[in-house]
Order: sequence, then C-alpha cells, then structure tokens
Amino acid sequence: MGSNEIREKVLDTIKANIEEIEISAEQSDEDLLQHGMDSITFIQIVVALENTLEIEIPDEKLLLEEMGTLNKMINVVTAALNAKETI
Amino acid sequence: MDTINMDYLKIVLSYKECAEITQHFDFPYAAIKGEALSLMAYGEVGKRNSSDIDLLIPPKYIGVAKKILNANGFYYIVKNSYDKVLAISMSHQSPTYVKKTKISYIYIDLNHNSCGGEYTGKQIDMSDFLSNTIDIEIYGCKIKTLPPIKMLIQLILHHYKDMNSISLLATRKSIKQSMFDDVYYLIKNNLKDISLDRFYHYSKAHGIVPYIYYVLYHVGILFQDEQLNEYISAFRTTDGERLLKCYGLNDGERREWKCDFITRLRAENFYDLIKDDLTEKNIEKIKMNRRVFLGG
Repeated sequence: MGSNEIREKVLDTIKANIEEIEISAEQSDEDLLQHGMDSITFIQIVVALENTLEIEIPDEKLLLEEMGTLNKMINVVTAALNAKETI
Repeated sequence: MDTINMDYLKIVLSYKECAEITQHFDFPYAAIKGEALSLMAYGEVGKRNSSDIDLLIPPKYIGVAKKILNANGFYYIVKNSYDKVLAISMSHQSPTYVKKTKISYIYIDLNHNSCGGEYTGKQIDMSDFLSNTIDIEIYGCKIKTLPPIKMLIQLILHHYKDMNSISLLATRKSIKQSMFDDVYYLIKNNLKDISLDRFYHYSKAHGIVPYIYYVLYHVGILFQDEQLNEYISAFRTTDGERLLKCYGLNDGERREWKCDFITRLRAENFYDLIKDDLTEKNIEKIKMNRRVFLGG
C-alpha cells in the first residue's frame, strides 16, 4: 500500500469517527484532541484501523502520545503494515 | 497450611519471579507501591495490603517488556482488541499480567505512567524519572525501586488520579485512608531524602506543584503535623487551591464537589455522590471501564 493510500485510509477512519472533522495538510501534526477526538473516539479509530487494514498495532503505540496526530497515526500504521509484510 | 502462610508464600513467589524477569530488562524499571513502598514508608515489608507487583517502565519499552513477560509465562487476557486499546490508552498500565504457578496465580502490573486516563496535565518523562533507581532487597530478592523523593511523587500523582478520575470514582472506592497513610509516613520516615527544598524544586521543574498540593492538603486534614504543614504551605498555589473544590482530570470534565472530603473518604458508594453530575459521555466511559477493569 502506497503512502498516499495509507494517508487516505487513516484520514477516512478519523472522519468516520469524529463528526465534521476537517484536517488540512498543514494540520497533520496538530493534536487531534483539539479537533474533537477524545479517549473513546481514539479507541474507536485505532480499532477500526486494525480491523480494516488487518494489522496489529504494538502495545507501546496504543497511547495518545504515540498516535495523537494524523501524521503520528500514519507512521504507526505504516510501520504495522510493514511488519505484517515481513511476517 | 493456613491462609496467612499461603498469602506469604504467594507474595514471596511473586517477588522471586519478578527478580528473575527483571534480570532480562535492559531498560530502566522500578518496583513501585507494594512491598517496596512498605519498606520505604514503614521500614519493613508486609505493612501494606498488596498481592501483586507493580513495575514502572518507560512507555517505549512496553512491547519489549511484554515479550520478556510472555517468555517467562506471564500473559494478559483481554476479550478483544477494543478492550486492549482501552486498557492501555486510558489507564496508566497495561492489562494485568498473570502467571499460573503450582501454588497460585501471581500478578504483575506494568505501569508506564503516573497519571494517564483523561489527565491532560504535564507528563513526566519516564526515562528521566527512572534514571537513578536504587537497589533494595525484598524477601531475599534484589530488585530496583525509586529513590524516596520519586517514590513520593509517583505515589502522589497516582493518588491524584484516583481521587479525580470520574471513571475510577464511579467504579470503585478510590479514596481510602491507607492512601494518605502511605504519603504521610513516606515523608515522615524519609525527611532527609525528601527535604522540602528538594521536593519543591523537583516538583516545580516538572510542573506538578498544584497536584502535589492537592494530595498533601488532604493528607494534612487527616494528620495534624507541623512539619507536614510546612510542606503544604510551600506547595500552596492558586491553581492548587482551585483543584481542591473539584474532581475530574481536566478542565473539560471538572465538576465541583457537593460534599466535603471526610464524607468522600467514608463513602461506600461513590457513584451516588457524583451520579447527578455525569454526562452521557461520562456514563459511557464508566460502563467501558467497569467492563474492562472489573469484568462487569
């Protein structure tokens, strides 16, 4: 899966879980808590990413500090997809 | 074999397992709470009611620690991916690791944070926090723990969370006399290591003065002590005073208490004290917490 496609998948998943959220490219490093995400929607997003992409996100990444922005989520998902391919 | 001996065997076995496992940790860690705290606060083990072992590690090593624990027969059980994400992201620890031995089940909690959950205050860098651990011996097992001043800070931040987390307040009795006993005796029996000057400056540098004040203030209600009062006065700030009136871990969920501290301390059913203030979102989180952490 290419980087653009991963970005789109992650963004779609975020949008499906947070009503009326808009994240521009410039806002990719902004804290998603400021864009309407809370602890419950964070869990929903992470689980949805695991299910739709058939990946397992490592325990140490299941933290807001590790996946609290769009770019951080993309990085974690990319690493999980790479790990899946090498198994 | 009577119950007391069984409990003793279980805790000794837990520390033996812990000592073996932590030999494989090539990253900083510290045993917190439990017998390490008992030794430091009361001068001997067995003074606190503890049946499991709590280890504090930097969050980046959660995965490495998991592999080591798994290799040594410890596993956590979660119903599904949702519960796992919830347990790790919304609390200060991974789901409890369990090992079945010939004697009994033994438990290790892997903490990666002092607060966690909805807390949005300043976080302490755990790698830095764990940079000067000390060696202690518990039941003949050598393990590492925090120096007294950091043990106190970890304990206070943990208590602050317990006293303010809406999910915890509604789920279990999270304000208990023993919490304040631990803080008081940890300070009183380590005055040299926890000098007011060092304690204050460390807390200020980490942006946690209001939270320290919050817990010390409540300890001061239960223990009339001049030395303790000096600590409380030094930590008093406007932000800290503001926290006293409320519960909740961040400004968005903070609510004003409708009863005093002693009523809260003696309350058997905390849910009744806060239920009228809860939003639908709060109730949803409480239900999730009960399901994941209490199996209810």
